[in-house]
Amino acid sequence: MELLKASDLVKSFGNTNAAVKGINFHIEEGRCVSLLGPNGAGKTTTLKMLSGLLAPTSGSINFKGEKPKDLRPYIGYLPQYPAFYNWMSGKEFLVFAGQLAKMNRKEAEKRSEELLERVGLTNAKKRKIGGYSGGMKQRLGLAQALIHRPKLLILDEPVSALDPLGRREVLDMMREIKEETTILFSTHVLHDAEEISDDILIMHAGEIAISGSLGSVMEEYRQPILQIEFESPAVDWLKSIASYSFVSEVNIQGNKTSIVLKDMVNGKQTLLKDIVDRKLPIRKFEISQTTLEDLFVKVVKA
Amino acid sequence: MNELLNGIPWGAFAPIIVLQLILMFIALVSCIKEEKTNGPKWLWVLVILIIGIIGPVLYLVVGRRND
Amino acid sequence: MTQWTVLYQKEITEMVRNYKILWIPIVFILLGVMQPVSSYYMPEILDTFGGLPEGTILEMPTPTGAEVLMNVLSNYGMLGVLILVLSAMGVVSEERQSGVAAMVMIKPVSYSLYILSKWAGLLTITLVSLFIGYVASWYYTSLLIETVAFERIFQSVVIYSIWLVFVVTLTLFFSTIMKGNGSVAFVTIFVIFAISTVTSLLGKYMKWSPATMTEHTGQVLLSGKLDSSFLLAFIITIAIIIVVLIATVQLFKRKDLLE
Ligand SMILES: Nc1ncnc2c1ncn2[C@@H]1O[C@H](COP(=O)(O)OP(=O)(O)OP(=O)(O)O)[C@@H](O)[C@H]1O
Ligand SMILES: [Mg+2]
Repeated sequence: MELLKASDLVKSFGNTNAAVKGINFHIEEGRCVSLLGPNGAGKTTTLKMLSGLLAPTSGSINFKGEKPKDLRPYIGYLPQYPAFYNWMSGKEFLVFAGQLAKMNRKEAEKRSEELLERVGLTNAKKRKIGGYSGGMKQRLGLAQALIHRPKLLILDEPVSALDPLGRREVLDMMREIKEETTILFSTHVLHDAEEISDDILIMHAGEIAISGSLGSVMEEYRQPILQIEFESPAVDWLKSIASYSFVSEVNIQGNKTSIVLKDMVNGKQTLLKDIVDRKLPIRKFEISQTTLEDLFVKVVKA
Repeated sequence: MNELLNGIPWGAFAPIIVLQLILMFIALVSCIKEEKTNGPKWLWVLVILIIGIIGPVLYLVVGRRND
Repeated sequence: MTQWTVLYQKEITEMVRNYKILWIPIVFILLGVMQPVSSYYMPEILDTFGGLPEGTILEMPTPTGAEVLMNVLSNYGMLGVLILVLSAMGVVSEERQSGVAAMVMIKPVSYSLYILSKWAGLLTITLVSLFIGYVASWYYTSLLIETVAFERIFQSVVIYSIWLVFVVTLTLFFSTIMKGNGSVAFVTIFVIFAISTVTSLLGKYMKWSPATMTEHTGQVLLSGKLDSSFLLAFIITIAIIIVVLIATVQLFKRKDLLE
């Protein structure tokens, strides 16, 4: 079922180029959707509009087929840089947030305990937030977003600021949460997106370049790649192979080269033969497929 | 000297002195508890202790880094 | 519990934790009692410590109780206002800057409720400080100098509190539309100073000005009577306070809370 639908969403700040230029997409209930894009693509702006924190310049957001005046009751939001009242304790903040989301005190306390347990802050619940580490704050931020059991959880770069360990923790939590709540999260760590999302949206310069389920997008854009590592650069030869009809792209990075092929069977044989004939010193010759990262780079460079 | 001290109407002054001390105490506690102050902490401690009412007030108003 | 109570309670708790609820009233009490004490003991102090030549006759008429209280209020008008503005300058701007305002507004809280809870918090600390300080001052004045009728005290403090409410409302307004703490305080103080100065310079044309509240306060203290222009100034001041509050909410709505 469709949970949220954005139609022709535009946001411009002042008279400069719009940050979000009329995007259309929808989010299915129960899915985990990642929003990808380079810095400045308009991810945060989009998420802020969806969470009801920023009014769109034009366009509309439907929630379960309706157009509610206030989206905030349905949405749990974790900002890119969550902030807290540092003088409160972790638990106090959660109860405060719960009560603001119209829970009564008892309910809010109960739910807070539950969430503190879940995000692993039970031991720190009475400590002042001012003394929390970045990772702890991020987890507290996750808890406050979940406090009122929102229908849609929106996370803006939930793991970017964390060390590998903290990142692992938050990703694992997200994996748990996605069993019960629809999640939309932005990231530019493509590996994370590949790991936990069902659907992806790739944004670039205020527009959605690619969208769909992770599987189908990968399928659709998948291309065979040949990766060759030389012992010394072989620029001349690499320049010459661009003329083969089965080569669609050659990317040279020092001694490493990745060649996107249209026809793997034919291409691999011809190139390998070339290498042997010319006695080119190679260290590695590997056949693989384009990853989300390649796709991302392609979209961004296009 | 004794005469002078006796001349001071303690009934009127005592509450004032007590309040000043409380004010100083609040500022000191807050200053010491604070992780970082605007400007060097030891200087604030001196200011609070030395400059009558104004020192503590000055610290409470501008010395605290708000969080 | 309603959202309102939660937000207001948060304001009060914050003031308790950072001791504002203690130190601001204490400063007001001190400002309030120093005046009668020094008026009363000044001749003695000069006599004892002044080292005046033998035979000097001090011609220092002891001020009346009402005059002492007027001086107290004039201290509140300078130092009191300064302290109130400086301690309230970050009320919204800091929360906006740190991003915690967005964490509040991400929950279904109305923008006006957020601003009104701030306003109520400021009014609480302001009025509590003023009342306690003034009562202490009145007590010392009646102890040392002379008793001023309670009715006059009551009327004057109520009128004076309207001026302080106006000051605090302005602080809230600038704290909402501006970001730097220093600039909020500077602009607020400047505006208050400008209003007071213009009012006293062009008194004839400024009978409606909120700054006349301080004059009405003095009048009530000295004569126990209210000037006929009070009603006009009162209505205008309340109207300005309401308009400023509405403007604050509207401008707050337009701010991008997560820049
Ligand atoms: N409040 C604002 N005023 C003016 N311009 C803004 C504002 N917020 C965002 N922008 C602009 O809109 C564009 C998109 O910004 P946005 O923060 O949405 O990007 P992003 O995809 O979240 O980037 P990042 O990965 O760096 O977080 C940027 O060019 C930014 O400069
Ligand atoms: Mg962003």
